Amino acid sequence: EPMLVRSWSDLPMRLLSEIFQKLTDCVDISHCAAVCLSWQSLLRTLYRQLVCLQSPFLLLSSSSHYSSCTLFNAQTNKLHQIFLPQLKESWCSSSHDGWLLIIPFRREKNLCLLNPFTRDRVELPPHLVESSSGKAKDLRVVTSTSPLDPECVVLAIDEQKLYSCRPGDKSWTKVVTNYKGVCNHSWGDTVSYKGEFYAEYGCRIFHIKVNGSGGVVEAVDLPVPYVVYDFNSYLVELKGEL
Amino acid sequence: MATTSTVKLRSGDNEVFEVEKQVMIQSGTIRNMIEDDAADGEIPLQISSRNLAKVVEWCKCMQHRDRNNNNDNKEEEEEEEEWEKKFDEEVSEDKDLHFGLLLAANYLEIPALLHRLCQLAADIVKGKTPEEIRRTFNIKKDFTPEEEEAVMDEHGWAFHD
Repeated sequence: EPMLVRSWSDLPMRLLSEIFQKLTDCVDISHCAAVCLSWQSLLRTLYRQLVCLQSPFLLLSSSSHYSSCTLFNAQTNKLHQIFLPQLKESWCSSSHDGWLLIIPFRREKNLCLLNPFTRDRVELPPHLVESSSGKAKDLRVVTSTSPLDPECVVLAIDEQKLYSCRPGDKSWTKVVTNYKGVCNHSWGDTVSYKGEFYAEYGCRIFHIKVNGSGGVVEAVDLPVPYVVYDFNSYLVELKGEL
Repeated sequence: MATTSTVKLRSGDNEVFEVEKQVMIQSGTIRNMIEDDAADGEIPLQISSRNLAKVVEWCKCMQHRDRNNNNDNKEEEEEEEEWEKKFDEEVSEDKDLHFGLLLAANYLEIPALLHRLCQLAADIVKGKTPEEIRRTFNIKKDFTPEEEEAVMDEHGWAFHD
């Protein structure tokens, strides 16, 4: 008796999603999404969860002319060009945790965070009015959690100043500092660790408290006197500790 | 009343497998029946004899391995590894068997087997193009041209090296 060959598009969704969760390369996930309608619709709901499990990509470049960005997958040594219409007439200045910071050429327009894989888009306030150098494309951001979390805090590093906001805010809040020393440094490496921010400024390390009283965001000088002398210092998470 | 040390499993095509309870308690479904004293007669299962035989074989091998875990018997260890390797190969090459075992492991609630089968399926998918995946798993491309265009907009980046 000949066996009837089963089609795997009939596999129950629960089992399919178990299989998809064992894929570790974004390319494989995209290939599966292009197989058939049932796989595609399942992957659409799973994508956000799956992307977090993927190997990291290095953002190499972005082009507003071609509305695309180029990513390098360190696991497979491959380059990928992703077409993103959102990049039109915009810079992509930096990325954090898989999200790209999109800065429109026109200053009155809102900045946004864009996930190139899920196409999730989170609106941020428009350009910083008192941008110190006017070089908006040098702006960096760090987020405390996923930008999709309403409690998420976005910290923007604009050379000598820090600003914060929550997704959907209409404007940026300037971060005040208790530091009384010389203030002509630029903010160095800035990281988020367990939902809090830490930043290097003038060879000191600051804890940026986002839940300060009265909605004030303040940078507190940590009693770590001059641990960093080098100008190119970085903050690194080691074994779960900063 | 639980009196015997075995359970009788009846396949969808009416073949009866008599297996030690100690082996079959790896299945959450069978374990519940044993605990509820509902496993004394034959247990009818909607699983073909071919697939059920494979599941039983797998459960026996795993139970044997767990029981011998404390022993340092190199020879037996190698034998078990060899068996698992053959199991992986056989399943990977026979998509109907693979499909049937996935459903069976899911129905019988055998997490370790389900995990193994899903990992094998993921390994087969890796590095394949959508067309190769369709051919391997006997799937029809059912996108309309508009739907396909939308898919390519979103995922097309993954198709060029």
